[in-house]
Amino acid sequence: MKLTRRDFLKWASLSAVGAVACDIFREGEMIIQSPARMPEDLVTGRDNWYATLCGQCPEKESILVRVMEGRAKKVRGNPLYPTNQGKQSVRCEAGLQALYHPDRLAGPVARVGRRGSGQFQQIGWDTAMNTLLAQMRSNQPDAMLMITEPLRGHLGMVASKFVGAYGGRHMAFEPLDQTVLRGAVKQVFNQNTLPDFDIENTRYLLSFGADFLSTWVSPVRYARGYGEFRSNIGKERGSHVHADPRYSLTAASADQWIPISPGMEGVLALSMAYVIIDEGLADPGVAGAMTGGAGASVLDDFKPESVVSSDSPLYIGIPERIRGEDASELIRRIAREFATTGPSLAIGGGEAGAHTNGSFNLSAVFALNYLVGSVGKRPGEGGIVFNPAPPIEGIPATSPTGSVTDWLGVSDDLQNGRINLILVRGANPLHGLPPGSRFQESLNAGNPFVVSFSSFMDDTSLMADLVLPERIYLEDWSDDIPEPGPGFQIVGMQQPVVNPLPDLDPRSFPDLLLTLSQDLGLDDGLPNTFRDVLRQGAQQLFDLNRGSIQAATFEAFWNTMLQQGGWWDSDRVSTDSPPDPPSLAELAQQPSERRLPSFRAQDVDSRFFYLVPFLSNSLLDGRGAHLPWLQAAPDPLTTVTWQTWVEINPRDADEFGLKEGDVIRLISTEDHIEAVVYSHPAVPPGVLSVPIGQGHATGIRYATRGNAQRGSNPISILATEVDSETGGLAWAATRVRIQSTGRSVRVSKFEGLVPAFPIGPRAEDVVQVTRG
Amino acid sequence: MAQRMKHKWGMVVDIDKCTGCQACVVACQSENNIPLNTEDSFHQRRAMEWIRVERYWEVPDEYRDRPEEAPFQDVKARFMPVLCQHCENAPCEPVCPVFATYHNDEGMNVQVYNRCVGTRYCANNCPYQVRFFNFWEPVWPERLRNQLNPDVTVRSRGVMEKCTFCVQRVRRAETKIEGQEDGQITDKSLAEGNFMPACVQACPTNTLIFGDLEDPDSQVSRLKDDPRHYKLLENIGTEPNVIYLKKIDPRRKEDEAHG
Amino acid sequence: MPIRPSPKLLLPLAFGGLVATVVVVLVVVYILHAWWSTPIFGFGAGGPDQPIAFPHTVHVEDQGIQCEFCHRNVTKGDAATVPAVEQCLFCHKTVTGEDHPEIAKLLEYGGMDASGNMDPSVTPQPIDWERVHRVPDHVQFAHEPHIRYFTQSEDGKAQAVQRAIDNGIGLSNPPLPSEMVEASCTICHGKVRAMDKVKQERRLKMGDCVDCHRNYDAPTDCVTCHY
Repeated sequence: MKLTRRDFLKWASLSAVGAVACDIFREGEMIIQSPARMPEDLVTGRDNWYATLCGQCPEKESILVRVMEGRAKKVRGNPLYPTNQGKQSVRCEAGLQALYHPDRLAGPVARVGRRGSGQFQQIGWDTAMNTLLAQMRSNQPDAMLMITEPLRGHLGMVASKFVGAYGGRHMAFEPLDQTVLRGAVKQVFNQNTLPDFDIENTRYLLSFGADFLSTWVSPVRYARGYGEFRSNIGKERGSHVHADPRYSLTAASADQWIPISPGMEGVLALSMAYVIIDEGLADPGVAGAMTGGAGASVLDDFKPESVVSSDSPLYIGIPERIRGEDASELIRRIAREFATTGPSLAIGGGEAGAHTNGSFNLSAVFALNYLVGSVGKRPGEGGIVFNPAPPIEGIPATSPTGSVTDWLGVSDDLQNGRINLILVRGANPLHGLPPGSRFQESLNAGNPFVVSFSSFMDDTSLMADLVLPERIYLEDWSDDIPEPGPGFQIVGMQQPVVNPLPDLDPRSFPDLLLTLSQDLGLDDGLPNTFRDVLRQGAQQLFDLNRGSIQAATFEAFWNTMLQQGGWWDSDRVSTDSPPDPPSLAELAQQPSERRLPSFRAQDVDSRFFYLVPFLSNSLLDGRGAHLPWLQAAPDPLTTVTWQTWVEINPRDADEFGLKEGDVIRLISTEDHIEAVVYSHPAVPPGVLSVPIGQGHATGIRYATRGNAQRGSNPISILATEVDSETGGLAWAATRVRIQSTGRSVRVSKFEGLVPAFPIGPRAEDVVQVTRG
Repeated sequence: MAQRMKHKWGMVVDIDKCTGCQACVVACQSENNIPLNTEDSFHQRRAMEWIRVERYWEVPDEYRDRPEEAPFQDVKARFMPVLCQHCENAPCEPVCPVFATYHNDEGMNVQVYNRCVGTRYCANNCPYQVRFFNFWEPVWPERLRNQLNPDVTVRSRGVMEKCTFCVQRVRRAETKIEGQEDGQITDKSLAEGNFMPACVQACPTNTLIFGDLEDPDSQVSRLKDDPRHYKLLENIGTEPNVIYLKKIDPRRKEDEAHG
Repeated sequence: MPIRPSPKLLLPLAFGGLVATVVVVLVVVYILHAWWSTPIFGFGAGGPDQPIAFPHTVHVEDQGIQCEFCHRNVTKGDAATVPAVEQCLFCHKTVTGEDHPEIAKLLEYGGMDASGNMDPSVTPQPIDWERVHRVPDHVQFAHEPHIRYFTQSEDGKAQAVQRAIDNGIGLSNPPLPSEMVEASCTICHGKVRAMDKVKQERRLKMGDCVDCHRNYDAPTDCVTCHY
């Protein structure tokens, strides 16, 4: 044993023999290894930064990973990549912990106990693949269902060709799906892919419900643009107004938050449209086209004065006075500023689209952009920039997810035995589908053969018959057409930056599909490895002979593409001209069940709260729940970590005699969950907010407390209300009762760890009003 | 070989841009081998975050003496990233009996782990509460240890630790950039070489800006006298090298005049 | 009058005294060993035994291989690095040494049979070398700036040349760049080219580092090395 000087000092200061004895068992120092085989670009003792794509969030930012001695050490954003431009989110970094997670599956396992019992047995890859092949050979091909996360790029192509050649269906799954958003974008902008919201070059930003600085669609891109938008160096600082029933991260960053009743965003947007048209602030031609020539009169019902009046059927539920300003005056002022401070931009999504009138809300919000001429801009002009078609033929640039209505269909098929085989990859429908989808019961009833490709035992894998762990994105090839893109053509590249650790044997998911299709004799016309598929795509890019990479040979092109993290051509922008503006008259005259939200609640007599769930800033929809950095990253507003809390207005809390740390039950028509009370002064009365992300019971470290569930999952109590036009889940349309459990726990929060100090020169400006 | 340059490292934090997203917090933990913050460490109030995002509630002036009565729509959350302020006149330094913490000639407040004997006087004396004591030997499950950064010491039990301005990256910048003929450290060369502190590099909105206060062309030099600038607890005379820029509230125009 | 122990107690006391003395001596030796961190005679002063008895004499003295040929990173980065097995095999695939036992070990580590051909029944294994030089805890040492100083600056070059001469290492006039690198290494590592088994020559304690840093006007700020 080596005794160091420091240890000696420690020993010298101790007389207890026990302490000395214990210290003997400390770990030995790192050994110097002389590795046997080295990849040619790996030099011991030196680090390298490799470009690849991050797989932690759906938007897939390009990252650089610092690799030293074959181990990934640090993640940072790729400064060259046009969408995130060198920046990353809290979630990107934690990919390293997924890579080195202690409970990663080492190899394939097969279920031995009852379904869902969690009893699995290790098997070899040959056995596993043979089992799967046997299932696929004996299975009726139409009776297969492949469930994946939304897949874009070549992976999307491989998956759809595989399903096309074999038979069956491919459905993309995402909790809190974007069906409504996609529907509104199609309807208002006539676009099949999401447009880019150029926040960076916008000067007045109106947002409705979308928590775009935290979790909505492409938060790193938006936050990076927001930093520029806020900059007052050499230009005027942008102004931001956010309407949302929850005081979200985005609401906190906005200059003005409009606390609105859930689902009333569309009415507010039309009210602003009324002001803009009425006061003649819009282009008369556009205003005329949008109102059928009738002018503001078609929106008479939506006058600011009437939507703020509590007698009106269109009452949007905002307080009478906000920061000393009359509510109707506030709407007028914001509408004026929005119309006169260009470039301006209105975006809606998230909670605003998660109602039975979600499509109405988002359409009304997006329509505002036409009034201020912000639609169909070129990159760099601010406003809404359409994305061009991808540069490579046949690879999807978008992946619409199945709506909850589609999932109800799947449940029916399962029950009727029309689905015998399910392949799940990168999706966790058992955690992310509301109970009304009946997915779990149908799975038990239909008893199909379920194969999961997850690297971890997640909620869905726990129900699987076979788990074939795939490589984590840092170990695998792929590419991506980001959605939304930056407004020009772009392909991102993902390359393996490290090999799996020697004690793990995961396989690449696309390679498995290609192997399967070869073994089954399917004719999908694809090469044998996914890398070759990607190279074929890259060859097409090379042949275009334009864009960010100039290379004489294909090999040079390929290497540069890997080095830079992708290929893009900033000159190749969308050629779509903005479609005809939507008719506000039509929107305004929709029947009230389309215009106004409806909520499911148990009985009308009790005291009800609106339940506004939201994606956790760090765990997202729960895919990060097993990563300790993300669990320990405090929620920005409440600073709570590791737990599921419920945000409640302090006066509401007092009314029910609740204090911080009390465990309450939230009861919906479907089910109930428990959550820890946290009240803060900016929660609107009558609204409860619960983060999504926890509530796994899978026994993997950090995601669960031992074998017990950590926190709870608000999706499991959502009523299956849907948007009346698109059938997307109206995940904010549930109302709940609360009930005390009489129990109380300590809230594990960051707040209070350190004493507060004043925020500015005027120390008296800020008063700490939270307890603890 | 280039003459050794004189530097004074500093940071500007533009609060107006901070969205509270926590990217800096995790970037720091990943770079600096900070022990995992378990649920218990929060209960024990021993969670370690070299940089943290504080959240304050701001109420309108008229409710200043009765904040709990402020209407919910008028309350505002403010985010403020707080890290070691690298004070020129640091209260933590004179109280250390073994000189384990001192101010170096590059403007950094330095913690020397091997000198530290764990009296915790410095943490008690730090008005910013940015020093963290290792009450336990840090543990990582075997596999997670693969992620640890070889450039940074894993601090053992009984040692005080805090933000270093990612000195390992700064040192690398000094050898890599200034080791070159005519090599000069600029904002650009720091950013391109991955030498910016991890939090600064990660920050999506560019709230955090790092650079050499001695270099008149650096962004920090230009922003340090911005009309919005102030320093945390300026009145107690710690003279921090971290400069904050005040939040702008367009609804309160007098703020800007006030500066 | 002195108290005389009874004869019955004498033997145990004497024995106890002996044991106590031995224990005290051992503890003192151990502490000194730790405190000075210098191997004491009989306690590995000749350097640790390595998994393969690698002779620098043969490679450097006889074959004239330069330091940085194997320790590839020493002029480029922090760690000098020991070479990968693969790199040893660049030469040892052909230089199989006719049943030389140490080369045979190397070939086995590299997954080869005795004649230097890949043998699928042998799994390549990394070699876990015993560390010879180590700096104390909480110290970050970077080779590159040191080599740069001693090969490029006037003061540094003079010192390196002087040290090479002291150690009896012949230099060309003017010294070749690779000779300057070796001369620089010699400053801390001694005449490795003459070592059958590498051992630590210099104490490499903080005093040692700081003396040198002072002499050459290198920074002596704590965070130069401690972070």
